[in-house]
Amino acid sequence: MDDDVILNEVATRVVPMIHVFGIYIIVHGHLSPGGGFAGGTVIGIGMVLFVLVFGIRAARRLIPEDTLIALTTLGPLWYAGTGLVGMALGHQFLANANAGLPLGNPGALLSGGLIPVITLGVGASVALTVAVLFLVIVEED
Amino acid sequence: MRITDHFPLTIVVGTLLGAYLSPIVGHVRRRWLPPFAVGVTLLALIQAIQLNIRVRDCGELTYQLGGWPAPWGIELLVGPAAALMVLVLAAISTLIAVYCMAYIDHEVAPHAQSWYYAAFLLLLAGMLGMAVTNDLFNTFVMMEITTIGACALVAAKDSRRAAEAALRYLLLASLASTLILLGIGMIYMITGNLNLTYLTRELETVWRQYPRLATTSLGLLTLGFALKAALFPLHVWLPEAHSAAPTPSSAMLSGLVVKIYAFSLIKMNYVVFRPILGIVAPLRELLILLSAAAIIGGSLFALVQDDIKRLLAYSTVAQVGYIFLGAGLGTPSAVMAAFFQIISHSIMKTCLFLSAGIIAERTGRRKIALMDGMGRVLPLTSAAFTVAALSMIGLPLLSGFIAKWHLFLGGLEAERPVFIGLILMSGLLNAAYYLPVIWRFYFVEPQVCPVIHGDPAGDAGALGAPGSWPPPGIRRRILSRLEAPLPMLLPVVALALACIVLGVWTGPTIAHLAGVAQTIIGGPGR
Repeated sequence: MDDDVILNEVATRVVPMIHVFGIYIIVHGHLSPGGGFAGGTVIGIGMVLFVLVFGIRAARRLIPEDTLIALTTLGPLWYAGTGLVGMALGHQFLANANAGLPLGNPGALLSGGLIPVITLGVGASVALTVAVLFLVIVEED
Repeated sequence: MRITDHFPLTIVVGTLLGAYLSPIVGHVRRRWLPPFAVGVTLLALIQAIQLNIRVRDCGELTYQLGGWPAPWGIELLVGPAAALMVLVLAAISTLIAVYCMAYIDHEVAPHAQSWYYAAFLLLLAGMLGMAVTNDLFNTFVMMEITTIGACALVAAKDSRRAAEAALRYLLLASLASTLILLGIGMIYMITGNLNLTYLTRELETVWRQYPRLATTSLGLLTLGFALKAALFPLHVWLPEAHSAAPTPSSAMLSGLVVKIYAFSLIKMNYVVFRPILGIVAPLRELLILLSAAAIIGGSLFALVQDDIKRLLAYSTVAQVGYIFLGAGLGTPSAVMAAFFQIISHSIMKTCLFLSAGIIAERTGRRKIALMDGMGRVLPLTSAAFTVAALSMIGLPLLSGFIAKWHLFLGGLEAERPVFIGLILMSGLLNAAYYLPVIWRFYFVEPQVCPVIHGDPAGDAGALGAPGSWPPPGIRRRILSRLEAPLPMLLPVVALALACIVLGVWTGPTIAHLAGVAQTIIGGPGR
């Protein structure tokens, strides 16, 4: 399967596009349907496609297992860390507009205070969880 | 806001952060993991103590996430009962984390340890969240975190038996979660609120319109929590899960996880669904019957076990019956006894499991028939086990007696003296399966003397770098006299002492718990 020209060429072009589309969904999470979970799944599926085409060893070369596992926890940490911003500003955990953060113009990409920031964490953790789950199941066989 | 105002939240989020950080800590340096976990639990314990002082002085504490006011946002509420639960959870899990420092290598493979600690702290965070939340759906989410953490703790041991037990636990716990979610859906349908305070207020007016839905919802919630807390006929997952798991997990599961579900059940029945308390008397009757069956049945099953951890697991089934009996009777003394039993059993059972763990780690013995002469080989461990076991039986001057005594009083208050007989009988049954173990510890000459594997001083060498104080020579001399590494011995002895202290110096505890019981069954809606 490693030397299938069509598969390799198509995947080389499709995987980056899938990832860009996933990132697009995540960063527009507060504006349009989708968001961290949907976008994260798309990115995760892109990684799964990469593993299916190029093999598990190529994936492991890119990101060793330990690093991947440590990265998985960064998403939730990011989320909780965003929550702490509200506390640092002297308000409740996860406080957004009421902690004085600017909401911006509705509909603009940079609006909604901490909401776009927090969706990044959701997206990262969902994407990596999909990838890790897939790798765990594949490696067990 | 001062930092202490955030404690209802940070006690949960801090532990959660600890859970997510532990794979990274383990990735950087595995040796830092155990002290890191102790640090996280210790932080939770400090916050729990502060919360208790605060609640005692200024009454209930609320916290609104994101600053959104109650009916819309998620609200945390720490009343006396929740504060008490939080303290028990944090204190016991701190001791278990200390025990893990020396024990973890024995049963959990090195590569799985960072995940083990992640699951351990996740479980603690979930339980703390269940205790402090004042939102029905949030309760569900925290419960799922608890369930996943608990299953992971069982599966952490690399054995077929543990995997099988974890799978069975996961399936039945998921069934319970589904029942609870269905119940939440029904009550949300008729009240339109998820905040528990508002839900209760709304229920007061609408239950007459939808009496069946309200009672079905409570029934589903009760059934779900009873399944998760292993009330007698629903206990089938417990013995295998609690005995196949690594010892610290068993202590966590038997000592704490079961209690938090029982606590939630009491909260749902008496606080949240208070308006329909009058029409769900049959449900409480059912609880009483099942708990009576649990008290007798669990003990009978325990009688025939030959493995010490299975015996302890079945004993949990019996002891959880006391909590549900107190909850079902519903008189002030009975509910107080239920809370006392929650505290006392979590201390006793953790002590028993941890000392059984020391015995298994030091001598490699788990069968009761091989416990002969253990009192001479592991004197402190055996003494702690004995104290906790006698407390389980209900000997005066130990905490188990106080719980049973107030359950007696509860039975009298409810004018159902039959339960006094039941408790007496269960005390005899408890004696019938704990005393033979103690007998073997002290009075049976062993055929093959148990041999201690390894050198406690050598194992404890990881505790401090060479060159630290006391110098290695003295350290070795002190520690080699000990039967087990200090971090394992310390929690066990502390828990055994706690059994005695709770049993002797009961006044303040009883007074405080009576107040807690009053807020649960008597006080105003909030």
